[in-house]
Amino acid sequence: MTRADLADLAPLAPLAILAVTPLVVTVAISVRRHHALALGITLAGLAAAVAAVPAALAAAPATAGALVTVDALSLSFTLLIALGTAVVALMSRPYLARSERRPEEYYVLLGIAATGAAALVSTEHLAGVILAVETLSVALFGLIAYPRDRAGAIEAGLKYLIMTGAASAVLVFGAALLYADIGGLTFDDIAARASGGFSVVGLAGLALVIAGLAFKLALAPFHMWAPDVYQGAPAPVSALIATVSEGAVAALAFRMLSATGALTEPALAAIVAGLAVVSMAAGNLLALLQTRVKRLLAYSSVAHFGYLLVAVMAAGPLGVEALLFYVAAYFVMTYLAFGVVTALSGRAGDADALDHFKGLCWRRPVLGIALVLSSLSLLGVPVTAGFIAKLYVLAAGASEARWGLVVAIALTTAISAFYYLRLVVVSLSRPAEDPRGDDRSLEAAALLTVLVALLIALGVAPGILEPLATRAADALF
Amino acid sequence: MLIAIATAFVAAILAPLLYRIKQQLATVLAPGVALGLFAYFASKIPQVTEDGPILESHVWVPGMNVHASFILDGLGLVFALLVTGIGALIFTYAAAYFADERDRLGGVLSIFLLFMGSMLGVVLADDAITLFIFWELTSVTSFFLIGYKFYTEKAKKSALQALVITGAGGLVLLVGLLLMSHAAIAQGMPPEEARRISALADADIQGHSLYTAIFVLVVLGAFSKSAQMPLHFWLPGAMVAPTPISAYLHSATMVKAGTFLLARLNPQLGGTELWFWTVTTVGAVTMVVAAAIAVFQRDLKSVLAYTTVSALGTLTMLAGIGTETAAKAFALFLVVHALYKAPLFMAAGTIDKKAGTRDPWAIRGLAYRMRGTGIVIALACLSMAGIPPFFGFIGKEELYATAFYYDDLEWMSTALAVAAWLGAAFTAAAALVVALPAFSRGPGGPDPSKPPKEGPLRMVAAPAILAAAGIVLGTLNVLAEDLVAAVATSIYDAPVSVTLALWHGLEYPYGVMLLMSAASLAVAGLLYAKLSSKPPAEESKLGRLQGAEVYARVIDGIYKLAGATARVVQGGPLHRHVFIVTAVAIAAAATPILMRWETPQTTGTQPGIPEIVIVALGIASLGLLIKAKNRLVQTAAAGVIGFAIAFLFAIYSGPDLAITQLMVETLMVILLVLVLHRLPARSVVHAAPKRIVHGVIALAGGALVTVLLLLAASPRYPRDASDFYIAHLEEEPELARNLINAILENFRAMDTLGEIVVLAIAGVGVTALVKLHKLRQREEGEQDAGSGDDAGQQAPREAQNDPAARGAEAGSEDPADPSDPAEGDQDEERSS
Repeated sequence: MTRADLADLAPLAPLAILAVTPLVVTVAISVRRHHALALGITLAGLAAAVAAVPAALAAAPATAGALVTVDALSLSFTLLIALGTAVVALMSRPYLARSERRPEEYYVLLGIAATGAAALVSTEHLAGVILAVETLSVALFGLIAYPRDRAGAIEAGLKYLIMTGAASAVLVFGAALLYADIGGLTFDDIAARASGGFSVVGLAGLALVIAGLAFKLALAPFHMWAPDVYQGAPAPVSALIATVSEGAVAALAFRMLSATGALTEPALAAIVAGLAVVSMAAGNLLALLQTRVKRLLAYSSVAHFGYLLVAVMAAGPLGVEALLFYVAAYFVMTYLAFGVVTALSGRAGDADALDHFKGLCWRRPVLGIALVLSSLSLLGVPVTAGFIAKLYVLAAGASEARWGLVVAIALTTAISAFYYLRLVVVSLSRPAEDPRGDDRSLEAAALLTVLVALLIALGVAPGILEPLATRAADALF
Repeated sequence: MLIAIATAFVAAILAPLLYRIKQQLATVLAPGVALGLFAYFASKIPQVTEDGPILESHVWVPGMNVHASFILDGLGLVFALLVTGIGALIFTYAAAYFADERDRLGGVLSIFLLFMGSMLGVVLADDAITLFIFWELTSVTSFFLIGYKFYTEKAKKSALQALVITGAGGLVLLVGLLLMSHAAIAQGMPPEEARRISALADADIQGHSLYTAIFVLVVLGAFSKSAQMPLHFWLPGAMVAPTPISAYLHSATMVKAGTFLLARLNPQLGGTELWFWTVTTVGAVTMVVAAAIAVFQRDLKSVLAYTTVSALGTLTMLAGIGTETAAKAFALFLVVHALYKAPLFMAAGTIDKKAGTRDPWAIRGLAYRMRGTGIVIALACLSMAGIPPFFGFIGKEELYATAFYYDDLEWMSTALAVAAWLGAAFTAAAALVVALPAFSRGPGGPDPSKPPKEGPLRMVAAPAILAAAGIVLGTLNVLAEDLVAAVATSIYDAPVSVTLALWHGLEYPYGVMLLMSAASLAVAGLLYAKLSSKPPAEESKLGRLQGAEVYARVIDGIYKLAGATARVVQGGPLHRHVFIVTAVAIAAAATPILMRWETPQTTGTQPGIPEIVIVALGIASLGLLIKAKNRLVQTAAAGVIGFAIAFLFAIYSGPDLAITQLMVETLMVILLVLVLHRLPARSVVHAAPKRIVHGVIALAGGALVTVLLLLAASPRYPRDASDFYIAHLEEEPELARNLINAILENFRAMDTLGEIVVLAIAGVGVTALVKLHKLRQREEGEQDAGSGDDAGQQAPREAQNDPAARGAEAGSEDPADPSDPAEGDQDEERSS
């Protein structure tokens, strides 16, 4: 291969590195079973993928066959996915060390999930979407049910399997109908058809594809799996689902809706807007009743992806920026929340009841501050990343004159104050006795401190994501 | 200005860290920073009073074109001076006040500094989003301060209530401000300019069709923050906070943000009938009623809280009137109130700490044992009662003057004068209630065996400085003239000149005003004398007006709605979830079809007798399937339907497919019988209405798929795919002869392999399910035997806590529930 040929591979490098990493881990495990080694290889692979992004960005856009499209949008999200997976891996190490005898394969599955997510954001072809979604989901089944001796985890894994199966069925059926109408599955094919107006079969197909994706995003009323799965899965895996998995699907949804022009169809726009409003309302209202933190965070994620859908609907540069910022901010705040849950979880099971978090600010100041700040950010309080994210979504909604959605965001945000503040109040209240067996390692504290700094940095100087967002917007519009 | 705000925020981060290293450092840092900022703003006085406002702007969120813009004009400057100056003194006071709660002082100072920075942001902001951010930050920081005692139910509730009211008010305000820009742009103002609040004064917002909406939104935001009736109830509740916090937030600074906003937006929104009548009336009513309530409180802090509400009403009323005199009175009263209210709060805190009570009627003679605090109370109350030569007297005179110089409507002038007089009389009575018992001798004093001692120097000096400022500014009132003029200019939006004096002579209206002052003091004295002989009851019902109950109802309603949602969406077992999801998916796909109905075109083949018979047989078995109660009968009926379909394949020249279908059906029936054999005999039978709904959904699903297939098969759609396969089938003899078999075995062999793998995985999953069930049974058995296994215990506890969890548990644990395996089967069928 010549030097020039190698340079052609630069745009594919991040995805390729992500794909190779779990293979290397698998081989390494077969040679020597060692926790730190598996983690180290995974982190090295993720770091290499991150390091390959600038070169890829310089060479983008590029395609590899019909299924893979690499551009600034896909690379931005690949970057987020790789970084997010690294955070999850770091968060998982002490957790697994406490509760698992054989933690190494976990990292293989983690790597496969990251690969699936990265492939999902790097495709403009429905077949590619289906392949990537399945890669991601199969890894998640294993991750969710990883603690095999915990009935709750196995139940959650099975539930996810069944529900994802249903979602995939809907997705594939929709794709088949689209193919019947159009005779092609690339987004360009669909867009060509959209300009001339869809036939009813094509429209029904697109509606089913959107429903299938809504399943993966846990948008209400397709959200029923979320609380059970979030609660049953190990806390770091719940974080992975909320961020890497759902973030990638959101990016794909954005790309699909804007590239195919599907939202020019009033029926489809109505469906997407309906999903957004119902998710905001149901997510926030149901979260209000929760006394279990992981379930609460599950419903909170339902609501947040409802908000995010408003950005997804706003095609155009502002939509890209809103999407990218929201997802990045959501990653940080979710990792903070689940990071605290993970650090408090012992061998007996995950910290979940509100009592576990009582007086956290006094017992464990770092964890307490992390939880308080992440709650405030999830609520959208100024100076945190969550505020700017919400502002972006509001601006995106306003720019498209979708006032109904804007009002829905404002109203449901007010409702959400009650349960986010309950977390704050609980962590500030009088300390309970210290539950045994939780994580007191410096590792967790250091990770949370970095995330807190990121949360504030994004809230105070939101311009730092600007260059990436501009590139992503230029690539699409 | 951004630097000033940033300084406060950086200090807020440093304070707790410093506090950990050396406590002394933090307790010096906080007041030091506040004092430094005070000096900074004081140095800007000449520039602002002579050259006018200073503007500043920074790009903040480039993607949304959001700027952080600031303006330093007279109004902002006076507020900034109050915020930093009073801040410096209260931080000093707080360091001594929290001396016995050392572990929390670092955090409190940090949030104090955060609050100061946010408050500076509010008063300096010149951009809607900048203003909103700082506005909400003051609400959030105050949430943490009010909830200082988070372990008490009352503190939690009050903190949340204050945040909900002021935070929601902030959201409403943001919408109002954005609409204002929108209106200005619609009138032709360039967007760059319309972003600045100060520039909007040049637009004719009052004449825009959205004015009413803008007005309502902005005023709601302001009223919620400044505790105007009926949104006032959160403020007395917020008094659960430790006293330094009440002194800073709920008297001198945060609650004034609402009145600040009304003053700030007077040029943009004021001057209309709507503005005048609404704002003036609400302000006047609040002023009189809250002052009256104050007199009858049995808690020093409550007295002070209600007089604060009353003072906020006065400021609101003045902002509503909006004349030149009103602008002057606003500026004066703002400073007057801050200078007497903050020291009174601090003194109340000292008394609480040292004497252990806050009941004004239980501290008789206290002033003689706590001399310093006694002097502070005396000075501050004299100013509060409006007695010359205190600054409060000048403020009250200007208030009366506003009423007398209001000449648009004669009866309104009289009404305003009456309201002002009533407010002044009740406020003076409240001042007497605060001060006189402490100075009177007699029964009802604190425990004489334990004479309270004076607080430490810092707790006396800090309020003393402010109280002394009241008499200094009262006598040397020339000092304040320039600044008051600058504030009034900002509000009135035209140059205002101010001459302050204690003595104006006796000609009209000043003579009348003096008489009014004397009368109000006389009434106050009478009221006090009556109360002194018979103090009011402990629990006064007066304070609990409608607002609090409406709030409670709304919150209750939200929770009820949440409960209802949970019952509908999350309540049922797994098959309920599947039902909802199926219904929604069908609706999603059906919407476009129904919106643009096109009749499917059929190929036109007429069915013969055999087909009709077979289909009739299929439908009959379907009926049997639905009606039958026995599972075996149901299985057999399902099998008959499958066989009927196989015969249809055979008739329409698909023998291979028919054979495949026959095999699958046979296997399926055997498998089902095997599985059902293991399940308990109990069968779930739903009530009739539920069955009808389920039937409708099932029919809709069937209809949808039928229509979709007919549509997809109609000649309108391209058949490139089938042409491709047919052509290859003809050319290549090694392929299977039946097209569908060829697709499965030759063209898409890999896909078939994949399907088999998926089926295998599903099989493994089902095995796991069965094993899990066994595992649970064993665990439950062990638990019954008394081994107390952890995992087994968890389930019932979860089910209690969460209606959603209850449903989920029921769904997966109930072995009789057919939805689990059935759902799995459906998936495989659909995806293959």
